[in-house]
Order: sequence, then C-alpha cells, then structure tokens
Amino acid sequence: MFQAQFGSPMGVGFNPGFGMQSMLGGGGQMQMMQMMMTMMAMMQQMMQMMGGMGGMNGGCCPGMGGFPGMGGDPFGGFGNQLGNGFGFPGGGAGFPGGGFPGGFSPPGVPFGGGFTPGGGNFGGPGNFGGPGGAFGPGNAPPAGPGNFGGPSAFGNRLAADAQQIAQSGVAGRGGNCKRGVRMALNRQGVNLDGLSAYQGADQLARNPRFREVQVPTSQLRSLPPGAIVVWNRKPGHPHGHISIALGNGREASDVIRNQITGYGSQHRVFLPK
Amino acid sequence: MDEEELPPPQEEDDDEPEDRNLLLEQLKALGSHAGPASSLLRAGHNWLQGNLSNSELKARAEEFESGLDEDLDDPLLLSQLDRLEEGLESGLPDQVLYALLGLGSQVKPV
Repeated sequence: MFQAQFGSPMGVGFNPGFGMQSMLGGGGQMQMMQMMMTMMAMMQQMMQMMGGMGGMNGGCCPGMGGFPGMGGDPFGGFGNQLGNGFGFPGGGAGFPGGGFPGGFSPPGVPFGGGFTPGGGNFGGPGNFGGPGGAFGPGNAPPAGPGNFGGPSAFGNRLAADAQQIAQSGVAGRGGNCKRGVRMALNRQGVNLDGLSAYQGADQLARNPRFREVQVPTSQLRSLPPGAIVVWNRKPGHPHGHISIALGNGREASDVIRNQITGYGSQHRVFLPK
Repeated sequence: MDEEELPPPQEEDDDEPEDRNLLLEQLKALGSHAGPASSLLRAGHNWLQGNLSNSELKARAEEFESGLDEDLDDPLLLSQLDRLEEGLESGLPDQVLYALLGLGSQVKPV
C-alpha cells in the first residue's frame, strides 16, 4: 500500500527506522504518524530545554546556565569536542549546578552519541571548553607579591609599550583590549593570534618568555610591570579581557585603567621572565 | 568593581599591524611638546629619517640621562633608555622608535 502510493523504485518503500517498517504492512500509518509526532515533541522539548539555557545561539554563558555555544563558535562545546551530534562536552564545560539537569538520553534516538549527562566539572564561570579544553590555570603554582619575582627588563619594556599604545589611542578607546595588548607584545617579538582576548591565555601559557601563576583577584593590583591578566569570556563579553599590568595597580590594553579585579569570570596570570 | 572599570562593548581584534608612519608621526608630536625629553625625541625622529648620526643621537640620550634625578626609580623609563642604547648599538631602528615612544609616554611634558 505504502509502496504503491509512493511508487518506490526499490520496491521497499522507505525505511523510517525505529522498527516502523513492520507497522507499514499492517495498516499502521496512523501509528507511525503518532510515533513521529511523539518524536517531534520530544525533540521540541529538548530544544526548548537547551534554548532556555542560552546555548542555542552560539553564546557562552557560564554562571547563567548556558552551554558554550552551538554553531559558529569554534571554541564552544557543541559539535566539536566529542564529534557527536551535539558535541556536549561530557567532561564539563562551565555549567553551574552540577551536570545537565534531567540527563536527556532517549533510547534509540540516533543522535550519534547524544551527550554525557552528569559527572561534569560544571562549576563556576571558568571552564568554557576552550581549544585545549577548559579555560583555567591548570597546574600553575600560586603566587603573591612576595614571589612575583620583581620587575624584569622584558616586563618593563612591555609595560612601557602597553602604556604608550594605550595613551596614543591607536588601538581603540576601550572596546578592543586585545588589539592594544597584541600590539605591545608584537613590539617585543611575541605574537598573539586570534580575534578574542581570552584566546591569548593558552598562547601565553606556551610562551617561554612568560610563566603562568595563580594570583587571587585581591592581589592583581600588586602585579609587576608587564604581567598579563587574561579573563575568560562571559555573557555579554564574548571576547573576555586581556591587559598588561603597569606595576602601579593600573593596567593597559587599548586604554589605561585601574587593574580590573572583578570582571566576573575566571582569570589567568602570566608573569614576564 | 568600580563603575569606571567596566569595559565598554567589545570588538574583535582586526589583527592589523601597527602603522610605522603613524608611529613616526606620534614621535614627532611627542617631540613637539616642551619637556625634558623633547630634544631627545626630536633627535630620534631625525635619526629614524636618516638625518642624524648614531653618535649625535647617543649624545642627546646621554644629555637627557644626565638631567634625570640620580635617585630616580622609574623602571619603565630606565628600561627605555637601555632599549634605546641597545637599539642604537644593534642597528635596530624599530627598537629605537619604540624606546623613544616609550620615553615620550613616561616623561610628562612641561
């Protein structure tokens, strides 16, 4: 019947999967339609659930309950970490509250792996699931004003360059921190790729001219000249923030301001050697 | 966090390199303001345009340095003087340019 109506050249009709084929020969069109409706409703529920968490528009919303991006965000969690349909980062990606609520995993739905519910390191505004995984200082040792190591020639020059660039206004007027810092680093022979400030963290972590340390926000204004602070992106600030300490409690990027200590996302600190 | 610390709306980095001509113009502008470094900055601008010898620029740098307070503890300023010297000795005009710009931004005009 079905085959005849659609005149399938293969003589089999279509195979909807989910074990439906057996229903077709038994006059089960209505059942099939109901099942498809059920499937669509499930999909819709799932999409609403995800949309409510702010994760469907490529955004990144730690602390706001958002999944880190879907589509168009090469560093987000969707579609690039597990290689599955949605690419949920099964190991955690900045989702507060301890795991994906509900643990959606409908049996038999071919999502190519679905996502791994729970078990996630979903705590706080860090861990966006960046290129190398999470945004975080990893094993960087803690440091404070007592062991920052003091000013270095490289750090002093970097700070002076950053200050001059910010004062000149050549990098912008407050909306492009990464440009100012990138220009200052370029003058010292250090390249900083990427469009966003937060992307500089992993690059600096690999650069032998810097050493990464963990510094609490309360001590950021004591950083020596040339120390670089990188803040992770957050809702409304998709690029994060990056700045170079001037050694006097101030920071330079495309402008000069008091060292930011409460950006509201995770930060990483790199001391010039 | 203070209100003044809130960063404005963000833009992507365009990855455009610095415009050297613009930097030279900035240096010229810095040298035009009266101040302790103005003579050195003007000399540096001339050197960068090939109108001044190394020794002449070095002499201006020493002159500037001798005018600084002996107790001056400004690591950023002093680092630029070192950089200027290194740039001159190594024949690195870009480092000379950056050092002069750095000096100009560290020294307050009169």
